[in-house]
Amino acid sequence: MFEARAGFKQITCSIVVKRANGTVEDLGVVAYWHKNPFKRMWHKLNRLLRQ
Amino acid sequence: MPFGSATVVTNRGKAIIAKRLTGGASPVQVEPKFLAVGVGANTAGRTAAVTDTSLSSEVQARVGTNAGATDITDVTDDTYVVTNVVTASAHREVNEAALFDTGTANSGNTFISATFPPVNLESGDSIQVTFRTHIDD
Repeated sequence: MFEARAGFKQITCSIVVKRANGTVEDLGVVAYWHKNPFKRMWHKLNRLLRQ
Repeated sequence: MPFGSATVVTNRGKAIIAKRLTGGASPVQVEPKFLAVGVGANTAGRTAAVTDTSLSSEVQARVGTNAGATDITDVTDDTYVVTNVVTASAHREVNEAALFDTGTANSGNTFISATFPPVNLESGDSIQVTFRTHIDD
């Protein structure tokens, strides 16, 4: 029997800062959620490695 | 829970979705497109959670200039996207943001809540926040 699923798969919050002097800083995805906990861990690890 | 980076559709956000589906062509529920930013999540030790109903310390006026749009992630129109821009009138260490269903500060229902590492803004700087909510297939 097939089971129907519902809900959210992924939610992201991305930020771009535009300075008063015209400089643009793309901070990318600053907050992330995925229904797959391994993807959440992978995203967190990626951000740590990039810092 | 200590301060951390996270984003969630809140319990009230789920209610907003259900209410937007009722009312025919003119749903009673207003679109949750109003962006609010705040500076209090880290001092409050707050990480975004489904129980959120407000920001810890909201600053600047909410902005709802841009309405939401749909986008493709897996199938057509399965993702709700909202982008709006808030300009700082003074030094701000922004570490929280959310979408609400009203443009009036400190009121209304939270759709999405997010907390993230502080972003320092000086007067005249703008922060453009994009929320993408992908509905499961």
